[in-house]
Parts: sequence; C-alpha cells; structure tokens
Amino acid sequence: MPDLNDAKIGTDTIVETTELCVGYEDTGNIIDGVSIQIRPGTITSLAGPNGSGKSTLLKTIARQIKPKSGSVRIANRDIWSMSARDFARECAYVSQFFDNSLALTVKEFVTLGRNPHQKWWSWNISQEDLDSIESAMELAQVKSLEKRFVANLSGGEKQRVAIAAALAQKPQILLLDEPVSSLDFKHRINVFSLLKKLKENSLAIIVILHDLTMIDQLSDQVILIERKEPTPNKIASVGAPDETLTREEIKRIFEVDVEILPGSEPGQRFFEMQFMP
Amino acid sequence: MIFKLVGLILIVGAGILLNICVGDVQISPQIALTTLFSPAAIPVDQAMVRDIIWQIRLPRMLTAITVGAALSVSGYLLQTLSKNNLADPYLTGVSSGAGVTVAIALSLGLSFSYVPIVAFTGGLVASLIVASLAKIPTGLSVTKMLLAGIALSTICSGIITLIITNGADPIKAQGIFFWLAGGISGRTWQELLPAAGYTVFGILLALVLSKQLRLLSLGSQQAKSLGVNVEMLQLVLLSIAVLMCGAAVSVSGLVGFVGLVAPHIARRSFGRDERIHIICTALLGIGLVLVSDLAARSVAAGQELPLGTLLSLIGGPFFLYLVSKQRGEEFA
Repeated sequence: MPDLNDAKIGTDTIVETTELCVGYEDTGNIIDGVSIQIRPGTITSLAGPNGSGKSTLLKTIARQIKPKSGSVRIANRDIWSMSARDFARECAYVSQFFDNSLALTVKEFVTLGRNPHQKWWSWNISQEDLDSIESAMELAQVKSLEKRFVANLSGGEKQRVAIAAALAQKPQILLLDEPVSSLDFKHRINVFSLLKKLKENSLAIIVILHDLTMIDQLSDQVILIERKEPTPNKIASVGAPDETLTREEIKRIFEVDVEILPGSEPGQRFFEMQFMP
Repeated sequence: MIFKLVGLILIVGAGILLNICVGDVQISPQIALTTLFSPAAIPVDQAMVRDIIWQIRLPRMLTAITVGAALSVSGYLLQTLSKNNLADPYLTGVSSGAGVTVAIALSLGLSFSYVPIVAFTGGLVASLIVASLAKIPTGLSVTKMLLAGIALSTICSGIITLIITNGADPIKAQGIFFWLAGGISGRTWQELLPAAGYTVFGILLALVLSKQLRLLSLGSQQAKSLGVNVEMLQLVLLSIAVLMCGAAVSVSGLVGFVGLVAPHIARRSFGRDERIHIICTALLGIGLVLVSDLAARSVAAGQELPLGTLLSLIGGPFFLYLVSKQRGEEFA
C-alpha cells in the first residue's frame, strides 16, 4: 500500500480541491471545507452515509455544479477557466442515474464519448476514434451489445455502457458515481479489475462505493464524509483504507457495528455487518 | 428508408408543380415548366400565364415552402430542446408572441422588410417567458411549458383582437386578420425573400449543429460531461428555432401543427440520424403545407380558406392523438 500522506504534499497531484463549499439555492450548503488531493494512478473512494454529499462533491469535481466558494483544479488549472470541451478531454464522469430512453445503439452511444476529441460540427470518425471506441467497449465488456439499443438494456448493462462511453473519452481522470450498484456479482468483479487496470495506466479514479470490503481492497485513498445536522457536511478523515476504515470510525459515521475479519492474504480485510435488533 | 425518401421527394415535387398549375386559371404542367426554365420560349399570347406564374403562383409556392420548412425544423429543434415531442412553435406560444408584435408593427404601418425581425423579437420574448415559467431544477417541465404557452397564446390573441377591432383602418385590419389566420396568398417577392433567407440560414445552422443535437438529447448532465457547453447550445438552438418561426409568422401569420406533425413523422420513419431527421422534417413540412395550400384553394371555387385554418383541422386531431399516447403526468 503506498504511503498516501505523500499525496498531500505530492507535486504530481492531478486533482486538487481547496476549501470547497457546495450547495444549491434552496438547500443551503451541502458540503463545506473540502480540501483534497488526488494523484494519477490512484483510486480514491468517497464513502459516507446517504445524504452526506458524496454525489454532490463528485458532481462538483465533474464540473456539473459550480461551487459556492473554493476551487477545483485539475493539472493546476481551475476547471471553470477551462472550456467544457477541454475539461471533457481530461475528465470523464459516469453519473449514478443512467436513464436513457434514447433510440441509439450501444456503439452509437459510445461513439459520442469521442466528442471532446472531434470537431464539434463533424460526424467524421477517425481511425483513432474507432480504436478508442473498440477498446472502450471491450474494456467495459459491452462489445457483444454493440448493435443493441441502449433503451432496451438492463440497468447493469446501461451502467457498463456508460462506463464504456467515459473510457472512449480517454480521460486522465475518471469519476464514477456508484458504478456497480446495479451490477451482478460477476460484473462487479469485472469493474473491480477494470478499475485496477486503469489505475495501472495512471488514471486518477474517484469512485463512490458502498461496499466497505470493496472500498478497502480497491482504494489507495479513502475520503470519509460525515453527515452533520444541520448541514453542511464535513470530511471526517482522509487516508489509506487501514487508517480510515476502523471499527470505531465506521460506527461513528455510518452508525453500524462492523466486525473486521482478516483475509487469507496479508493486509486483506473483510467487513462483516453486525445486524443489531 | 431510401424508398420512403424518394417517395417524399416525389410528393414534394408533385406538390410544387401542382401549386403552380392549379388555381382559378388552370395551367398545363408543360407550359408551367417552360415558363420556369426558359421564359423566352413562351409565345407572346401566353404572356398573362407567364405573369401569373412569376408574380402570383411562384411567390406563393415558395412562401408555402418557406413556411413548411421553417415551422417544421423550428418544431424539431423545440422538441429536442424540451425533450418532448409535444412541443411546437404554435403550442409553446412562440408563434403568438411573434404574431402580436407583427400585428402591432403592421397596424403602425411599419415597412414589411422589418417584419421578420419584429416577429423574431416577439417570438424570442415569448419563448423566454414560457421557458422561465416552465423551468424546474431538472430542466423544463412539459406540462408547465404547454400550459404557459397556451395561456400566453390566449393573451396574445386577445391583444391582436384589440388591435384589429380598434384599428382605425378597416382594410388594414382585414389584412391583419387574414394574415393572422395563416393566409399565404398575395405574398410578394419582397416579403418572401427575407423570410426565405432566414429559413435557409436556420436549416443550415441546424445541420451544422446536428451532432450537438444528438449529444443534447442525452440530457444536459450527460451532454456536459461529454464536453458540450449546454447553456450556450440551448440558447443558440432556441434562437434558431425562434428565428425560423418568426420568419414563417412574418409571411403566413399563425399556422399551427406543422412543427408538430413533420418532426414526429421524420423521427418515426427516417432512422436515427439527426441530419436525415432535419432534412426529412423540412421536406415533410414543405409537403404538408404545399398540399394544404392546394386544398385550401380548391375547397371552394373562387374562394379560399386560410392555410392556418386548414392545418388546424389536420394538426389538432393529430395533437390529440399524441396526447392520448403519452404516458404519465409529465408527458415523459
């Protein structure tokens, strides 16, 4: 496990937020004081109870929501000083709700992922585009679905198609909001190994997950967000999984008791939920 | 699909020819074609026919083409923008907004060459009012948009009635009335050309933006993450839609439902490519207006129905059919 304290002072930080405060007009501030750093080639998990502002934070990094104050910088540029197009070349975002009733085939949809790299008026698909589309579909395991209509796919298949479109963007940073929530076990494990593979290709990945065991085994860095009444919510802790995911901290933040069992491999841990009456 | 496209082109071609030949004075297709393509070969005793074609029939036919293309593509863009196939320039109040300002301008005696600009301004104001009323956090509420559009149209028609009844000049008032009901007869080249120019410009721009239209139809969140400047794109598309609607209103008054029917058929019958959708939408709109105009002047000899009246009789039931097909409160 790399020493993630380095991330805080590392010079190769690719995503950096400074004193970020996010909220909507009618909700007040949802999350405040977020200062985090993400390095290339790492997986960062955002974890916290429902309503703690994980998705809101991810959307803010994805340039979907403008923060009230503070900044998000990627490769040392404020994301709001970049055009939507320049941003999309660096960063891809897969949202939680992929509700698509469009009459497009999987391949046509994944092709749209190339938009940031193409001329905005042109329908031309270059060889480079084609290669990216093919490899994205293979990585996300949707190649066999390429001629099917997106609207007719199951929830899990749609989720994989959305990941494929994001990969076709060839981003440096990949943001995923609960990418495995509607996947069956086999495809969960596939996404799991896909993320590891992408990480080895030095992508910076920020992902929202609920499964503590998965977070523990996948992440280099965990950002635990604590729900506050009244809002804004705050970050409780940032660090390597074995520092952040302790029994006491989980009990405090998620209000559940877990038992942490050692796995067969060194460092491996399993989180067993204790069902209390 | 190729057969459908060829069929559509043939229908439009036949509509064009019939529009030139059919009327109070019947002209044979052969003479019509000779007049159009080699006017010098027309015998002297046929000079009247030549004048009818060049001064009356041709401007009228081109007006019908402009109105059909402008309203249908305008409707296509509004439907993509609002993500609902019940949107159309007439139902969303854009036409009425344009109509009011044109009625005011005409009653004040403004030169006709300014009418498309005046119509554009009125349409834009109306569309912004409707959009701001229908705005909800996730985009535009279709229910609210249609209700606001209908209410705005009612207000506008009230204002127009006021202008007509209080206008000092009865002849002018009657002109406004006929124009408003969607009459396209008696349009001159000077009135037609600006509207046709805006329409060609609008359709070309829509074609250039066709890939962006596809991205936008994914929803604004997905479009943003694929590098689309969504707010800017929406504004540009709305402006094009309103510009074309304004162009149509300036020459034909309030013609409804072309922008509803044509895009719907194009989406259903002509595949998934937005470029083909736009072209087929325009062709279908042109065909619809040409046929309606033929019918409008053939229903009763020596008399004619305003185009808008006839299209309401065709389009109204079609709209009701679409409403009956829609599921759920939000017309999703």
